[in-house]
Amino acid sequence: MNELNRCKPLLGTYVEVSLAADLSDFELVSLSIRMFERISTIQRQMSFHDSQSKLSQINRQAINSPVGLSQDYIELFSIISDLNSDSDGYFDPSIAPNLMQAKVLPCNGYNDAVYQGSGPLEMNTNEFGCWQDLTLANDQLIKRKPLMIDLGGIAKGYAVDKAIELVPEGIEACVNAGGDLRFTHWLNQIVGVKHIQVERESCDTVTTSPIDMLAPAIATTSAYYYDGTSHIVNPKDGALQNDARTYSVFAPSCVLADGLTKLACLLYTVSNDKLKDILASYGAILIVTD
Amino acid sequence: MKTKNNNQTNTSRRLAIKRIFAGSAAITAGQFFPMSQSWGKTFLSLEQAQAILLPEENLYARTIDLSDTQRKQIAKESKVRVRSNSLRAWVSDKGNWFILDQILGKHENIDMAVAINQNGGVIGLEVLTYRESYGHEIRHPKWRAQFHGRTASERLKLDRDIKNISGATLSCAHVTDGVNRLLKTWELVLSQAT
Repeated sequence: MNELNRCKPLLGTYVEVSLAADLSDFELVSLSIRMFERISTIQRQMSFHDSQSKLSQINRQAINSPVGLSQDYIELFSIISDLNSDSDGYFDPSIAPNLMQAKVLPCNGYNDAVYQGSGPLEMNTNEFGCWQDLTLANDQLIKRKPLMIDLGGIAKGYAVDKAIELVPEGIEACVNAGGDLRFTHWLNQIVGVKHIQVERESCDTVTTSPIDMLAPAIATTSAYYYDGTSHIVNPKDGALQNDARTYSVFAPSCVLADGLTKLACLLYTVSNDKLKDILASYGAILIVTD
Repeated sequence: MKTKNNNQTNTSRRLAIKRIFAGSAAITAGQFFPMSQSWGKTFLSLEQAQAILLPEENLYARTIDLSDTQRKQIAKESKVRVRSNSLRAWVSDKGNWFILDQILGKHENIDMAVAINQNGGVIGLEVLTYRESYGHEIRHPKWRAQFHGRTASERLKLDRDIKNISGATLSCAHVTDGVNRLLKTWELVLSQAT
């Protein structure tokens, strides 16, 4: 069995591709190149930080003006719409203005096209619409209100899935994008969950003892204030979440694991039964570390 | 002799007691003040990275020493601190460069390889080794699996090495800084070294 392990900085984090098969070095390297290129393609489309990305075009687009969507966007937006609907709007990527206000996301380039105010840091985030103000029809997206989307809460998982989909049968593969990961052969695989104990004066990082994978994919999210801010916004009130727990979700796909960790952060304490139903409907399992 | 024997006995007792305390201290430390652990992964070897980034090119090793003036200029223009005054680099017969570099981030320590073409553009980048301090391991964690009747304790596998860690996403911003520093190094030094 030949093995190849590669790691590249992509999607704003470190993306690892691990392959094992009875194939030559050349064949494994060729497959890994295709997988990294697939992830790069998604990064180029969905990066909030790249002013040339399709996402930036969507965010700059005026209301009632259609934007054509690629197949990747159509597929991902369909998943987001399901998560948004199933959670009564708790899963909502249109919280970008709040993350910009919190300085988690950059503000450059959005002053003129989307918001006519004096500056993004002074903007009134209530002026922006939500996911329900988007219309998806005939491969086109139309904004009914000014709004901006950040796909940082789900695009990594989607990219992991798309890379894994390129792996032919018989090859064992794992793609790990900064902790959002998926195996082709997940039975008997193990994973550790990293957690930061913020209740102590110094933020201690700890890692759980290894646990078996309970599904092909796992993703982990936390909403503790680390480096001065939280990265999780409650779309109902626009507030940054502040929670000492770490939420990990095992799911059949990494895009679902990634998205469901955000819902776990938002619903765990306020609507546990609702969260339980959503997780069950997606065949997902939640692990909370505190 | 008696005194000596007593001394020997006392010495033996002291050593024995010292060993007991040393053992107790070690166990106590393990239980209540666990040592911080680092977690690391090795990806490509140097030769593999060279073959992937600059395939079928003959490479010639170069040790590049940076003068204080060059270091300051690179730091000023890339806005990234230059920690080392030497660079491990290879130049190909086509004029492309392969550079081995180390990134010291806030949480991570990375060996990376960057290939730069003869026009100063990035051909590719590979992380060769990745080390991260991830703190101590929770052996009796307050964690729990939800909903499917499972408990986390059922899933503990203490005797197996963790190859993959799932955690809140770690930014790769330091690698971006490192690439910017190397591109400026190429512009100011390597482009004139061939």
